[in-house]
Amino acid sequence: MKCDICKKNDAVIHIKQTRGNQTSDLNLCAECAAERGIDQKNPQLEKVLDTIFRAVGSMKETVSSGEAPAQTVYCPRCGISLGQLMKKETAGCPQCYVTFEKELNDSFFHDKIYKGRIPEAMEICRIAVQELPDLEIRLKSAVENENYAEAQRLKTEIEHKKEALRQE
Amino acid sequence: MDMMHDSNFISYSDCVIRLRMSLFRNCTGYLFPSRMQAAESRRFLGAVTERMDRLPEGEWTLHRSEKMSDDEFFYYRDRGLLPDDYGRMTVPVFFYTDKNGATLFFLNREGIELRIVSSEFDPFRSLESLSDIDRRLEKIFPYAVSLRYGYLNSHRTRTGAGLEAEVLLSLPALNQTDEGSRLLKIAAAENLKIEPYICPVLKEAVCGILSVSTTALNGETEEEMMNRFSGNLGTIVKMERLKRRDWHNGMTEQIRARYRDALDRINLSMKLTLAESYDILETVRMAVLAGVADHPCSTINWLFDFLKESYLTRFRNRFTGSSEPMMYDSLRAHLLKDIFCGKAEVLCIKD
Repeated sequence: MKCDICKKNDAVIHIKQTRGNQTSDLNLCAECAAERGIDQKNPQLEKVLDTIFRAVGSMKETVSSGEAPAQTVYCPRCGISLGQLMKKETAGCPQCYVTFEKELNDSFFHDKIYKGRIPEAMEICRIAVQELPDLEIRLKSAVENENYAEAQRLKTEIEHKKEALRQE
Repeated sequence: MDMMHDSNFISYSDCVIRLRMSLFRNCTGYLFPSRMQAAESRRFLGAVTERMDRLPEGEWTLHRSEKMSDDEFFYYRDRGLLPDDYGRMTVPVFFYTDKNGATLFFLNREGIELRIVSSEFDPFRSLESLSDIDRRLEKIFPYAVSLRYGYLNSHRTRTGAGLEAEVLLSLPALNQTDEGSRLLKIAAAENLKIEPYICPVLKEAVCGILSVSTTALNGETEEEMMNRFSGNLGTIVKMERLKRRDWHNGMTEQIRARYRDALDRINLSMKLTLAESYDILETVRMAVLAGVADHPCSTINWLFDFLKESYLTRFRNRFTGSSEPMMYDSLRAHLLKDIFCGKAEVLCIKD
């Protein structure tokens, strides 16, 4: 049986939660359990489990119904709901930026791409994923508009970026 | 974007008391602090403390805040190097580096906050120091970063550059006029937050001192934010300096009279509370700015922090030569008397 969270590793912890006459099962691999602080000595264990049950429950609901109910989507990592995030304008974890990407973009980020400093180790990814495709679009446009001086400059810049990638 | 450096550095010491800048970061594999359970907080603190050991020895000093005396701990808070609401018991460690005068603390607004405080308004120099430290920290901490959004933080205003700047300003001329609405207009248009400065010791607003802060806008780079911030600060300082010119139209005598009163108060007082001392300092500042008295504004700015109990305790040996319990109010009176009345060459009334 696979882990309900990562869907990759085999589940080694099986938890059953009973609320009234409803029962839910939760299957976790060792890694996901440790990441979420599932430890018998943890005094907050009940709370932790409740958060995970809610998050996984909402994932299962979403899959079975085939549509995302607007106010009941939870981040699978931290359990925060879209409603909570929008109300407080506060995300619960890095995964929220993936889970609620569309809503965050529509409400706050409006397609703006961050261009400031990032860790040096990630600069190379930025060149490959953002800068080169952007330069190539601009080069194509410069050629179409017969702006050959600009096209030449962009071509040189692309070569430099590719050289930087090769060196990495 | 150009980095305005030494060549363009303009001193704002007549208005700026202190500049604080912070970088906010979180780590992959951990929730943001608001969602962390106690066990995960402990795991996070253990991991960051262990990783700090990988930096060269002596670069950072580990402080166990739960074991520090109040005065020792408040020294960092009163300098602005720790937030006023820093939970010293819940987050029992922070780091300090003498080299840059920066602190690194955890689980406050974000997982990691790197903070630097300067008495001069040179945001580009402060940013350079912060970035220099951050470049070393990024090698040991797995920062949560996205190519699209930048540094991922819990609040959207801190996501991106994860940079915040705050300046404490004394604007005595603007305070006396009805310029509040103009300031608020600048604030609204430029994403600045302007509010009265609440002193963590007095727990109340200090007369005439404002806190002006900003965070990077979506997509904005650090340099763009600094240019916006210093440009706006320049506008505010210019407004203040223009208003001061009005003082020559009849205000100078009033300021001179208030200054004389303040000197009398210093001369006659055996004890001065922090609030009373701040009141005197602002009167002296006005006198200096109006050209009625001579004294470097940097000393008045320095006294703004130095009169706090945590500072006085730290430097007790210089004053008393002993570690006897201190009488802070007497010491303040003594200190102000020494600086403002005892040495005529340091400060005098101009005819």
